[in-house]
Amino acid sequence: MLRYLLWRSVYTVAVIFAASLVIFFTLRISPGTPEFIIHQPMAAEEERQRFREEQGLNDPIIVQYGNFLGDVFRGDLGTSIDSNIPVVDLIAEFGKNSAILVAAGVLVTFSIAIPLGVIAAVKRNSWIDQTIMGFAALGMGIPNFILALFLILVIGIELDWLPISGKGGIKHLILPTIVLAAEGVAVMLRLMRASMLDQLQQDYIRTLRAKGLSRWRTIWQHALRNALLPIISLSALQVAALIGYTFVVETIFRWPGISRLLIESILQRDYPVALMITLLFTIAVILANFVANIAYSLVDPRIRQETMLRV
Amino acid sequence: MSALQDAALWHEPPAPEQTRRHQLHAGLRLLARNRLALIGGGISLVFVLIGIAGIVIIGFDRFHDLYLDQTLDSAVILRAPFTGENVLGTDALGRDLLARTVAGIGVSIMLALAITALTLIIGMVLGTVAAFYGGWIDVVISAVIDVTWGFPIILLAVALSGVFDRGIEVVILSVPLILWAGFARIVRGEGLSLRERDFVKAARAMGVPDWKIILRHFVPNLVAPTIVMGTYYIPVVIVFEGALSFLGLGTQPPTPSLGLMAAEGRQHLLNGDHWVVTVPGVSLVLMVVGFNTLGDGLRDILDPRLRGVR
Amino acid sequence: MSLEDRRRTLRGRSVSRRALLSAAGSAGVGAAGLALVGCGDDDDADADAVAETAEPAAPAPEPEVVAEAPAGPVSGGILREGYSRGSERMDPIAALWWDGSSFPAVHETLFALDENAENLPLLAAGWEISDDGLSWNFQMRDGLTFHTGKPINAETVAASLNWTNNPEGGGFVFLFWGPVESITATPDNTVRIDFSHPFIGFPTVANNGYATVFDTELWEQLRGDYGTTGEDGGSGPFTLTEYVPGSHLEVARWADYQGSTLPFHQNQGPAYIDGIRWVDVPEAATRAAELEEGNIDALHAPAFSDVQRLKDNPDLVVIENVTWGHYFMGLNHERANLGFNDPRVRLAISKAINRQAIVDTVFFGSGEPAYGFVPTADKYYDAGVVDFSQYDPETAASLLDAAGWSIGSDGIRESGGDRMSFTLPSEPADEETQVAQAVQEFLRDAGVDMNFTPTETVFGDIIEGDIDGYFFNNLWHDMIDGTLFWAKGEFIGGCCNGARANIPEVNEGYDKWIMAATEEEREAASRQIQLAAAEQVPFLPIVTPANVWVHNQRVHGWDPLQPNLYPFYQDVWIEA
Repeated sequence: MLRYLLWRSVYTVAVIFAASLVIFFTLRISPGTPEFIIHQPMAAEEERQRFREEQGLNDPIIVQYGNFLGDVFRGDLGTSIDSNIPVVDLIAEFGKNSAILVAAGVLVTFSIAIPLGVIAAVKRNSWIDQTIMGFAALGMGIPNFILALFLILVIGIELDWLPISGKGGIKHLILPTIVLAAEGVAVMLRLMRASMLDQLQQDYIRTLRAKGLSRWRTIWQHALRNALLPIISLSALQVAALIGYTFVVETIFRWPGISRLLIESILQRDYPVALMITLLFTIAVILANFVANIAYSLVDPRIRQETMLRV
Repeated sequence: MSALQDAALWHEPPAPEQTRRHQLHAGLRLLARNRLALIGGGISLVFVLIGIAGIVIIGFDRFHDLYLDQTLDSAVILRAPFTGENVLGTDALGRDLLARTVAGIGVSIMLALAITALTLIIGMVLGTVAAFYGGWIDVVISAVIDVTWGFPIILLAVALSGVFDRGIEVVILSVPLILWAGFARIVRGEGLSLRERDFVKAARAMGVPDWKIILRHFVPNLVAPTIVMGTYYIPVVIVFEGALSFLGLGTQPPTPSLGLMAAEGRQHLLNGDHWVVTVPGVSLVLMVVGFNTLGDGLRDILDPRLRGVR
Repeated sequence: MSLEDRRRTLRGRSVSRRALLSAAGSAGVGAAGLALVGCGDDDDADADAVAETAEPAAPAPEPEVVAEAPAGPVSGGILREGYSRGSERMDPIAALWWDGSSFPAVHETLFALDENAENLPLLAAGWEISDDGLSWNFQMRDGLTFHTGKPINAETVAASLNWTNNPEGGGFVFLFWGPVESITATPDNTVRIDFSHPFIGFPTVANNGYATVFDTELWEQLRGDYGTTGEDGGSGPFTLTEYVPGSHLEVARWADYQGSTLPFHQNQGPAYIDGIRWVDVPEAATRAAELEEGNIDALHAPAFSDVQRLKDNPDLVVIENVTWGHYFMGLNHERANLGFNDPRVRLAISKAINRQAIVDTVFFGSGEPAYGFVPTADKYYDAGVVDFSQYDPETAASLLDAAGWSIGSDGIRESGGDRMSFTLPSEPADEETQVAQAVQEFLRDAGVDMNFTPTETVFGDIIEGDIDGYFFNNLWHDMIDGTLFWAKGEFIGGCCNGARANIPEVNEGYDKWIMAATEEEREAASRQIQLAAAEQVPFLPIVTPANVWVHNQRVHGWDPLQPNLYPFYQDVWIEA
């Protein structure tokens, strides 16, 4: 196990390094120079040149990459060209909002998906199961931006129950959270149901029942615990999916989060901000994969044999 | 090529042709019994037909020219469905929503098919190469698969929209660049297990070239996963095209794209002019649910092993 | 006309439908009451009553205004204002965009415009112009300081204006200050500006946010960080407290504000409200909802599709005036292969666009067709421009035919192997995209294949010049100065202008405009430019949109004057 952990760690660090290289070069070959976007476009040519010098944009790209790596290791994540605010501060400010949203999304996902998945498995093939699975199919079928629009239309506008944009109290959080969680609930619910069905067919369940343990205690205390293991280890992978969803959710609900900041900084060619957030997200995804791999290998030791491929 | 090599190649797995034909028949019977697949297939077929109609509209004339009336004035804009000559109403520029939705479905289907094909080809080639050449090639490809699989497509698309101007290129590039990995994994897995089979070992030992083994024994095994995964990828692409266009990074106006139409219509929701969003929105949902259902059904029929793979 | 009357008239233009109905109802009751009394009194009373009821719509909103403002100004409260753009870093020179609301609340200028577009002294006590018009002397007010505590006197003001005029400041207003030779402080607390030729127009290029007076010491110290540190070197009634790009900008009342001398300010002392928070609401779709839901108190530029709904809302007051600007399309005159060097082609393209239709649809009637680049509300507007670019597809077609561009087999015009097919970058905002789509359609019917790509880099693309043209939304407090960049021969540093245009009559008109020594000369110059531009079409103005402001009934004194477009916050107060 230790060898596997070590090997995965080395591999993860290598991948992060490679990703930083790809991201850096991809963003630097972008057309449209930042001084036109961010600097006053009618400013004198000499001023724009001075700006490029200052930002190091005139250096060879490999030198720029070296400088970038050096800065990062010194703990300097750069400064926004647009606002001149340190990227760290921007990420902290916007990241906090995203973190609230994602945390709410994760909480809702699990607190709905797990009970429903268990119920669907226990009541297999009943109308309850079919209804739940029908909702799951719908949850996977409705694209999240369409779901958001429908919720805005019905709950926000027609019924006028909840605010449809901005960040405020808990009320502002409800619609974005529903949209963020919808597909996750559907996916997790299906996985939970399958995992639970798997457990219910195991011998130990029959043994416990034969020993006189009540049906519900068997299910909730024993089967559930075992059924949850693969779900929890897979849930790290859900991080990647959630990051993807935040782009749509933060945009539609005008939630001042980090994904929106990324979209804006990319379109504005605010390199330092775009670079750092892209890198941050990529590292988050890679680390989530790392955690998922380790967690899954704990659950299912066969994985360790299968060198690198994830199951 | 010697006769012996040929024999080794042709003799091993027993009577593949007959079995496969038999499987196909069984599959069709299953299809008839599988209501999900039938319904999903029906819906998908309807959308493909509508899409073809949309593509024909785009092909025959410039699409935007069809719908924006020269007599643009405040009377023709934002007409509700079933109130005038426009069955599904008009949008904020007075364009017929039915025509635009049909054309939008065409854009979606066209992009989805092209991108799915591209994804499957990349996945198949790289997966096959990784499985059959092994060694460091396999290590590199597997590593790339490992990083790519599950990476958020939107994150890549947002990053790419800094490189390209916002537009369809971003969709065409970002989706296959991520999705191929899932398919390559399956292909590689199939390939690895095939490589261990005795007849393939024998064929290789006799010097039968790899490409022959791949064509003869491997490709036929990929038919089912290709169909199943292809059916899954189509709605995934449709959703991403919609989402990216909705964010303003994908298809650009005046091209009718369902996601873009929903985005453009969004600001009219508060005035009660909801059809500018609901017409393209509901079309998109139906189309996606249709393909998803077909995918589920096909998976049950063709390859139960792919259960849970997405 | 008192200030309060002016406000009523401003409001009267846009009073909500429901408020109008109720006002009309109460007016009717009042008239009936008068008539009843009149019956028993004397015969003239009926005539009086008729006169009362016949009073036009102007006083109609009065009951509303009277009802809402019984107590008079109270202090306190934070005004939350929605802003359609994102607030920019508040740099007095190098700001990418001067935010018309927040900027003047913090930084003041030598002049300010009154409701008649006359320049009144703000930081200056007054000024004198030498007989030859070559030297202006600004007498500074005594006892003023910046927020930093540093005195505002001839030296500090001259230092500030010298930075404004210095290309190394990173700004661009020096481009408009071409005639300025030197800015010096004289011993009697006077700033002397010498010009290379008479420049009657100087105040119009010195009364905006790119030409504010600021504490140069702080600015030099902070440079690129200015506006992000929560401190500022301005002198306005508010001080900058917080700036979070992409989110909001906050200012707080400056208790030491020595007071405005502007006659149209009722409040001459420190502001009533404790502070202002400008919230970025860039998405048109949710902008109005923020106000309707009560997340903000006031809003600039709701989506045009929402204006009528807001007007129908009795809790809100909608103020509409004409903006100083237009949505327009530029064609690169250097693209001879597209015929853009030929004025007939440019005029034909202009005549193929149905501007009124675009106003009626994209702008929901809130705007006016722009046949020339000067809005009709401007005092220099010349009505002679309207004839040239009237929508006329037949004439457009015959002009294109005459220029050698005949319809090809695919419906697109061709000339000598060149197709009239081109792609323009456009700004990625909703209205721009809608305008571009409508224009595309009208041009397509004229056999011109115009495509567009929404991109953030339009301005950079324009300066680099390797494009067929562009769509842009021009906004400037003076549209003649505001079009120098787009049409005047060699405007950008010895190179060119936005359209790569070089039209002698237009250039000459601009020269006369800049060099005007008297108001008469300036008017004549403005007429020459407008007519020459209408005929030769250096670029194609399309629509001048309305500038829409909305606030809830708790907010008072938040009234943008037409010439300023933006409200001063001096008189704003919020009901407790």
